[in-house]
Amino acid sequence: MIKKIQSIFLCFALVVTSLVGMGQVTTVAIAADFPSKPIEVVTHAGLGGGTDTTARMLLIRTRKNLKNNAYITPKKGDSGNKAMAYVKSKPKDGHTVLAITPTHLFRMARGEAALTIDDFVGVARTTVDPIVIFVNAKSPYKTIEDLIKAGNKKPIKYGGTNVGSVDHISGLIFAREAKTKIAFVPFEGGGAIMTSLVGNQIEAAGLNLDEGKDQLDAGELRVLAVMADQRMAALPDTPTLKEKGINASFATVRGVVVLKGTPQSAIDKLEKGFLKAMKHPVYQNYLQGAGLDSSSVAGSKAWDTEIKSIYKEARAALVSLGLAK
Amino acid sequence: MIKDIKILGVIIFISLILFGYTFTFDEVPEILAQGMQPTMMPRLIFSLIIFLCFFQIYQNKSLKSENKDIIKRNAFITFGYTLFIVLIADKLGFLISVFLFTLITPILWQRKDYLKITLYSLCMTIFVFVFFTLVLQLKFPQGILEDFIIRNFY
Amino acid sequence: MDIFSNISLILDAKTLALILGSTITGVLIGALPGLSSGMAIALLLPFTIYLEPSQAIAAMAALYCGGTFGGSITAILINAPGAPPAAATAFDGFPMAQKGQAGKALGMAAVSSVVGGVISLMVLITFAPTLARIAYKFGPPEYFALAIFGLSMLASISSKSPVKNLIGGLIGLFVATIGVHLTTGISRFTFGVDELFEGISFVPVLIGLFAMSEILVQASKSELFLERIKFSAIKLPSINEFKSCGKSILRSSGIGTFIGILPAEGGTVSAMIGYNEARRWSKNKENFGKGEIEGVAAPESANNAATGGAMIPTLALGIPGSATTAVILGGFQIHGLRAGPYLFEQQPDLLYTIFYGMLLANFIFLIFGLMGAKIFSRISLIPRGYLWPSVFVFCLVGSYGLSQSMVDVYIMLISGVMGFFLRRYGFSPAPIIMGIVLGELVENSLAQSIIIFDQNIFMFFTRPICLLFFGLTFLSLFYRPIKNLIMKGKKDE
Repeated sequence: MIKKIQSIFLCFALVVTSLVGMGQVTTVAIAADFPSKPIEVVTHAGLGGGTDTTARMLLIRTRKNLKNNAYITPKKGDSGNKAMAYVKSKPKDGHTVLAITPTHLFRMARGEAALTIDDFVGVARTTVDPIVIFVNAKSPYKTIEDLIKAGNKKPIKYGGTNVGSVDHISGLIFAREAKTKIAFVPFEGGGAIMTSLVGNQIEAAGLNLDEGKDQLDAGELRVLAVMADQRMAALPDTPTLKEKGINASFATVRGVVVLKGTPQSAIDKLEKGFLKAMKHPVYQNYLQGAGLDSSSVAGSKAWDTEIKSIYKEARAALVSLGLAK
Repeated sequence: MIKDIKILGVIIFISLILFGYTFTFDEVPEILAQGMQPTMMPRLIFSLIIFLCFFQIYQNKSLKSENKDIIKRNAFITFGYTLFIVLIADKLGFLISVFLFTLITPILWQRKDYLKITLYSLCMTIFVFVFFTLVLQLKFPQGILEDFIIRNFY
Repeated sequence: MDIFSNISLILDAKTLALILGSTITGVLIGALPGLSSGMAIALLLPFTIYLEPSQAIAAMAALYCGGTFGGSITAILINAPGAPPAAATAFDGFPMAQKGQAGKALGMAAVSSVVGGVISLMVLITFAPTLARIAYKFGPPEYFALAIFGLSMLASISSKSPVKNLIGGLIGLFVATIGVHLTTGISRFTFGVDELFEGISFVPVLIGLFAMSEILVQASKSELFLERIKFSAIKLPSINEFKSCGKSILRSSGIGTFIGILPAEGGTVSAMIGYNEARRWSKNKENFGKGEIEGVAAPESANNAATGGAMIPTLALGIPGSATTAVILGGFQIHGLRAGPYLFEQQPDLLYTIFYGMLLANFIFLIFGLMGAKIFSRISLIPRGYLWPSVFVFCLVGSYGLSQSMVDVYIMLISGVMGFFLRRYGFSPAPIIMGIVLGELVENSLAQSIIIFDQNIFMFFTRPICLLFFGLTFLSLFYRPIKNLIMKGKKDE
């Protein structure tokens, strides 16, 4: 009996050592090429959320384009900081990609993040979803000026997702630039904000277009302005804040980055693979379903510049609001 | 001894410590504090817990604590082994941990049919790998097997 | 009505096979602790692009139905609720299995689940656009009032001492305060652990409190204990037992459908409330928590009714009614579809496909559940030395799987030890779970209400729905003393 167990144990040990051995040999053999092992995409959000779904849709075709496997590693915690710390600990070979959102950039701007703005390079932008200011269709606010005027008398109850998110910061900066006052009401998610707005619990809200689209079409909500430099294709008649002389352009942008120091050839290959995947109908359909269009997609250069500029503006704004040192 | 005084004492003690801990929370910037401080709710909860614990002790003051069945040594051994497995799961990998756990625990629980145990243990490990890693594509820390699994199964 | 003429929509082999497959996948995944139907849908989402949109959505909805039911199987057999909504099922289901009545509990769970599910689906197809508007009436103040009503049940939710139940509930409320504070962004009780920043995940705590603590309890029992009454374990419930639970099932189905409609609430709360109400109105109050069959029927019909309920705002307004429906909405997006008023007016075919898909899923898991009950119930006869180590493996994998973090595994272990000692000293897990579920809602909705009311809390009393819930809270707390007073008054006359 005991002999039997011993022999089983031995077999197992043998298998384990040989497996580990095999793994190491292959590393040495093809390390010069990129990609030499599956690509890991690190996200900061739970399964089924916007960031997760976007990354999954992106990877469907990327796998084929790079002729390589790719998988998602969710590292939840500390508003993206956990994901940043994890990526920082990985080698700079392009096999680890971080999916970022403005939340990450705001964390960096507040000086609380594991990475700084100079630690990474943008590879591709996956979605751009500007923040749109919604009010209830029955409210007296017909234009953005009405809202600003009302806010001067009594702070507007302005809904958005949690503190420190792009909704929150953009709301505060809108108020500051438009010289009005808001009382920010934080919610757990877009759905709750929208119901509260239709139910007249709050007066205005910064939402992505998609989150309020159905209610807009049903005539329950009204859009006052878009926080972007250019009007949205889906809302041709809605002015941007920039047109109104208010310097507040914010969007829920998503994209992927790699650590600085990654070989340029690897970045190029990644960029090509991602861009091609995003041109495919699979991804384009997904964008359409989310109320966006192909202008969401951008390559490494444009995306990298954009990250830096969002960071710079956010940093200045946060310091002036007393939220960053 | 008054009935339940031990556990209630422990709860009161922990609540007091955590109550004190609320004083170390960061100060809230003016722009964010809108009527409700983050410390309000926890302090309310701890005050209520402490009050209720004393109330229960007062209610029980004439009740003697009854004899509970002693916790068997086996429970401690099982817990110790569980803790050990959880702690090494990160380093050694889930698969090996699962294998080790299902191999040793039945023996700790006085099962003597070693061949069956080994078979059970192997089946369990293979099932976890096939179902969770291959079918559901969940990624577990695989410790020393990590490199091999990523290369061959993703 | 054109409900019946549309059944042909799902009558092709591929759709039927898909629904069958996803229902059974849902039941199996739902049964595994830690793996939820929401997670399964999220993982499978990208693969559904190869399907017809309506087929994909129907398959997801079927998976959701199956998953909710599946949770009850493990809750009954091994005290490890496969999903949070099944937690209340474990209160009486597991004691029944321990008494050798696993088959009865499983059979009852299957039948009451289907009744709850079908009732809510009928409500969905007939009244969805109207009922969905209830969601708009519920702002933060109303959620606060609802949460207070939920908390008023803490003392009575288990037959253990009311003071201990309250202490347990408060411990649950404390656990819910861990993490970042919604209105100020301050992190509380995170002790420098980054993973705790977004709060303690509920699933590992649940697995710990139930399954892990049960493993420790089992470890200290002697090996001889297990010689059970083997033959009764596979027996199904009798017609009379179904009849006696009828009222509870209907009541719970109503509660579940209504609570399911509210976007911030879901199966867990409705199952808890359904359980508590069944206990309140039952003749065998003392038997609850010790293996009362009504205690299985009530939460099971409530949480499955909440499944259909949650689909109401999801389909009619495009607002997710629960975590899983949020993922299903993601599925709409991937296929370039939109939920909302739109769907009802312009794409009735899609709507009916979903409806029939879910209806069919209910009947599939009824058959699967009843036939499977005989097989599954044998799990309670597996020797302890094999059964409980396997349970631990699922605890480990399940608590890690959701957010893929070791911290969740440690949380599971700590909750297990805490649960072991708390149970030993006569604390029930029921109020703790209730506290955790409602904790965040209470605090967040209060904070939001205070901002909305310009810091005047008396504004709560200007809201009709708030007043209604405050009234219900008052009744549920003081119903008995008042009744006693009146009875006493009558006697005196």
